[in-house]
Amino acid sequence: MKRVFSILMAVLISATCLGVAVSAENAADLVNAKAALDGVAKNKANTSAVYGKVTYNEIATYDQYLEANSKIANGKENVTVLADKVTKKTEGVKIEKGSKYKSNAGFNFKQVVYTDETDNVTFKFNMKKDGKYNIKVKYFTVKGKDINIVRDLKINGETPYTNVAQCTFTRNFVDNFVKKSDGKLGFHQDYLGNDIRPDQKEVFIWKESYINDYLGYNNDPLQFCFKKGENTLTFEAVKEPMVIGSIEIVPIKSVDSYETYLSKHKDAKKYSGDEKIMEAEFATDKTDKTLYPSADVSTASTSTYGKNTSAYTQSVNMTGGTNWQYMQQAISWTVADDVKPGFYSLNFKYRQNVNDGMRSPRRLYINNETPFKEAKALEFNYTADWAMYCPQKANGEECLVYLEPGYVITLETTLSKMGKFLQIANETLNEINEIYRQIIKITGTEPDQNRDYQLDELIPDEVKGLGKCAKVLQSIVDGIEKYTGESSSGLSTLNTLIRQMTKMTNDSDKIGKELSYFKTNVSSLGTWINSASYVPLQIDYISLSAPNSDIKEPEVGFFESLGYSVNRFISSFTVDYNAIGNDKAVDENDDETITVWLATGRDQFQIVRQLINNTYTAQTGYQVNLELVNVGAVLSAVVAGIGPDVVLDQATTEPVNFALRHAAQDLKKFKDDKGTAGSDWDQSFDEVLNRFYSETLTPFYFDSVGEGKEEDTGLYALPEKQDFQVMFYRTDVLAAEGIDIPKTWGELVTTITALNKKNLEFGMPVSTSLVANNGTNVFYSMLRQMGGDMFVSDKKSTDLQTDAAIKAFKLWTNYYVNYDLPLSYDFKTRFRTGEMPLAIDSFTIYNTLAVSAPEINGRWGYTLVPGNERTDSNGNKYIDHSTTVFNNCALIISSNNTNLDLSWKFLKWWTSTPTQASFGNQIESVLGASARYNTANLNAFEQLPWAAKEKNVLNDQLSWGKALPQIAGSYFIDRHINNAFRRVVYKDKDAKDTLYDYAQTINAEITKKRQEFGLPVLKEE
Amino acid sequence: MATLSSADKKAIRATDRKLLKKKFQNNWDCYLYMLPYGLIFFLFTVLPVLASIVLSFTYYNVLEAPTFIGLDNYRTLLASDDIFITAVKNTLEIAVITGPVGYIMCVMFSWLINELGPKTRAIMVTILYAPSISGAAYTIFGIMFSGDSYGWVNGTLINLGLINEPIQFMTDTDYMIWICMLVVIWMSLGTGFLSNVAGFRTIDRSQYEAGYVEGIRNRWQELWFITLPSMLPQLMFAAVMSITQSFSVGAVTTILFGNPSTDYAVHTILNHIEDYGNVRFEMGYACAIATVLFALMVASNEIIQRALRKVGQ
Repeated sequence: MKRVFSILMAVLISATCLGVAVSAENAADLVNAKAALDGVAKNKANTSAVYGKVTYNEIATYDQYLEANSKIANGKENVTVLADKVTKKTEGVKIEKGSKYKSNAGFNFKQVVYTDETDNVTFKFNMKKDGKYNIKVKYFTVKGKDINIVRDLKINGETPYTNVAQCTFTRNFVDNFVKKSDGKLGFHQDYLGNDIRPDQKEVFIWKESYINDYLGYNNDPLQFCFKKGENTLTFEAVKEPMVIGSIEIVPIKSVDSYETYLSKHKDAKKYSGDEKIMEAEFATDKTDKTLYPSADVSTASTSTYGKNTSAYTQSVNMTGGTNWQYMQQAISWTVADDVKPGFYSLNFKYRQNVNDGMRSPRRLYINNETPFKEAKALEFNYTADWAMYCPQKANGEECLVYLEPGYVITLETTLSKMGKFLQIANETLNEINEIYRQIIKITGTEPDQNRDYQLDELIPDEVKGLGKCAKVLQSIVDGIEKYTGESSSGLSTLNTLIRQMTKMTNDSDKIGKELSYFKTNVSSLGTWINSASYVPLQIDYISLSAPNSDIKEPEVGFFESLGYSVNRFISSFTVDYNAIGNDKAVDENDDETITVWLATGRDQFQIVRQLINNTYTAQTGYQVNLELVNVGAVLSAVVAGIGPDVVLDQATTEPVNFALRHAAQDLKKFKDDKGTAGSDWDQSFDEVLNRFYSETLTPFYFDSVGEGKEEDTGLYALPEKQDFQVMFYRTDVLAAEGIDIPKTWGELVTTITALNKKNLEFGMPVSTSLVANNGTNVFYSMLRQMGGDMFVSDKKSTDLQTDAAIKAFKLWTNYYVNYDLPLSYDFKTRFRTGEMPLAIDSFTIYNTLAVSAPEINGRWGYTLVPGNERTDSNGNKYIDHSTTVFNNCALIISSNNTNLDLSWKFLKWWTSTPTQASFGNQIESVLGASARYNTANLNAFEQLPWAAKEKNVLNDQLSWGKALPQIAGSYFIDRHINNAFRRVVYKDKDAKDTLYDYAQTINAEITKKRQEFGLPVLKEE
Repeated sequence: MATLSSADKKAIRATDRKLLKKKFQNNWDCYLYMLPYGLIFFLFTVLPVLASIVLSFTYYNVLEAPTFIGLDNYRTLLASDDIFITAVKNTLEIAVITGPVGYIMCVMFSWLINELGPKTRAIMVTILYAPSISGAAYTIFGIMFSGDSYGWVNGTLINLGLINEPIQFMTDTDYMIWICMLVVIWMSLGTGFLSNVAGFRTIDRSQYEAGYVEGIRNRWQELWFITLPSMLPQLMFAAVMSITQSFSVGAVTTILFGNPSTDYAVHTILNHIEDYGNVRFEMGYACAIATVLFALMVASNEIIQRALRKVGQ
């Protein structure tokens, strides 16, 4: 019996404690009135979206280029191209005085060329003879979005080969150290004694860089052929502004051998004193803001600058990690003044415990020069614990390094020998994907098992191609095993694929049977290439010691290690993680301290904590008690009367839920707030609303009287993040098949037919049992494009019985009933293989694709979702591209709020442009580009590192954004529209009747809910 | 019959009290042992159950104070809530099919395992028991029955040429309830199974010898007349577990089919409680449903217990 009781009790507890999600109610048609307030200029005629025919030119690979130009000898000229050689330029390019940009040693230019993030600039110069050269660029970094400067390079009007599509020029960042009482630089500490990760500060300087392979596949500077006579060189901007001082065409660079290096420093002595330690957390500069030092608490053996490793506080004690794994990232350290000139044994205490069986090579520079050949790649091996490594010859003999005070030691990511393997693997992958598409053109994605497709007769080259690819991959596997000396787990993926392809080429009847498994294997090859090109590495310290002397062991003893672990365990009970980062203990009972809850991750929490300390508290003097909680805890806490004052990152449905039950604060209370003059965040009420695209506020309006009057309508939250759908396309596949990108739903039908003929697919999101609004968002977009709406204007019932609604619903279901769109699919995989070259999905997928699918780099893009042709009041035709936009939001909890005014102040600060932009930038620097923050603040969004062209499309699409109002009973919308969809698509029921039935059901629930909350209801007719 | 005078009654009550006090004084250590669990049981089980019964007579939207509305919730629930009827129907369907099947499996598997050698037995117990301890292990069914044409089941069926396009197992009402039952049965070898395995080990071997002397002719008779009756307590326990399990199916459907599922096809009573409690915030109504579910469980438990007493007779 007890069991039964406890089950019932479990039911009750879960029923009481779990999350929220209810009804909501929205205000009247504020939308139109608010359009005037709208901050974004809607320039719909001038869209940068892509439609119709697409072209894609296959560009030569670097190897093909070198082979084609193998007869051209290495050139010997030195040509310096300066600003006066500019022949063609776009609007934003400015020729400026060199003195405008602070010069560091060696960079003096009379004139410089400033190019903005969308500019193209062409230089012209003469060569005396044909020849192969390297290109060296001297440039100045100017304020942008803190990411690498990227340029597409063209020589004589053409892209010479693929590797120059994104020539990368790095920036220069330093740690914002604080000066300690003893005069030394150190880290800021909170009141508990924890080190706080230093902010990364950009220093604008002149830099010099060879044009290198941005993918890291080639370790030496790239070679370019120039013809005798006039040549041109064009930089097309992809990302960020840049000031070009000079472009130097220089003979191909070679690095000295170790012996030559020794002979250059014949007179230098070998160092013979004690070992000197350079702690890696004190770097001089780095190329990327993500290369901040961090706190390693996993082991006692991590060396901490001048203090003992404590299990109870965090010390910033090393640098690198998975942030330091992308190409072109470098960290530099400067040799201290007390170091005597001489030859040193240079050892790095490192750890690479991420990629099992793989290496994380680094290129060593001393004063920006690679000193000798062996330094081109220091091969850091996989190691579970800290280990030591020094530059060495292939036979293991150590290479000494000459150092003087002030010398700069730099480590830069490189792929070493893996580069070549990965390049070939990448090319092979593209080839295999092409073959796969040729096969499914004949067999379809679900081949008939019993049919012989006679592929060896229809596409003999492709069938043989599989065998060739298998051989190439085999040579890669052999090569890698020889290079790393072991067989890593990743290689088994390749082996499986090789076996399968060999089978398929030898016995083409089997191809049909193997196809779906083959696709999975191909997709894992892509994943492997991606992960193998990451070279994470942590550095604890750099040791300078006398050659052939003993150096400090990287490990600590067993008992010290055990003691540390035990202490760490105890500390997990005593340390208040919410307090980490506070400058002083937060007094929760202080009337001027508000409590803010955040339901995301610890990384986000720490960034918000730091932002609060550095700007909010620093400027206002008010303390904030920030707490990291579980999403579901908010409701129960509010019920129990221990809730927060402000909650961040809530679902779009929450504000109206809380408002209906009188627990959320109507922000209109603050509508007379004038803000503080001159402050960039403490603005007036109207200015605060103007931060967002007006539509995104729609779900947070709620009319508490229920007659749809504006004066009764309150605003219960401010948007934080936003999400909407765009249409992704594969340029190469569509161009190869001659398929157009559709502009309207009508054109889409033609496109789908064309795709189906080639056995390719179009993807449109469908609701799943877990994500109920995937599909309904598509429906809502169509509904708004047809001129319909979900609710009637006073929100007393749905508006789904209109012609527009029926038309939209029929259009939506028809794609699945008549054109067989897939009802369930994995977009990313199918997009990569190319079998789904066109699909609608959330724009945030962009980041994932950009980071995790490098093999299709430059072969895809996105554009507006298909639209519906409409006629405006003047009789002009236009295409309505409306898309559903939905938001996360921040709101003020009014029940037991200690200080409403300060809560509002905090909300203003949090949603302001500077705060949202810094949060977005910092979260990206911690979690990487795939975690790009989709802020709803329009100005902050502008400051995030989107490439200019991509951002324009997003702004275009957003200007068509339509948000679904929230009402009491909103939960019934997705539920029953999905039911209606499934009934029509699975059970072939009539669309009109079905929609009508479910609309009735939804209306009944809305009426019931409105009665529950004493709101006027629809009169029975 | 002689009536007791009020003085007598008083005397008896006093004696009763004294006796109780005496009993308590004699057994105070037992009460002390019970105290920690008793407190927890009272606080977190008895109290919530009582609270839920009380709340079931109120309108309670979670954030504002409950208001008393008498039997309204029950009236709506039993008279006009179609979805509740669907939920009861689904729950009973699942309980009637998976309960007995799960229970019989439970007994049969533990019996079979009992026949194995000690090492194989240990391994088999682990394998069979694993699904029910490893939390949300059933999510694997979500991958197996994915509606994608590359999903395991769909892929295989398409490869075999049995279907042409993928079946939407998780959202098509024709398939959902069957998949749900399959998953519940797969999960059913839980604590009850483990107690049965233990039960088989405790049976006195000499009973079997005695049985052979008395004329047991085969293993079935041995099972029915000796084995099962001697482990009646474990069987009871397994039965109670089986009942509560099949009545409290809810998490499985939420994870696999969403809550609510398409057209409420696998909507169980527990899902209904979640829907009203967490989605619509009608906590009073949710409590009324919970109370009904509670009554249902108690009743079916009684029936099973009575049936089980007939074992071996």
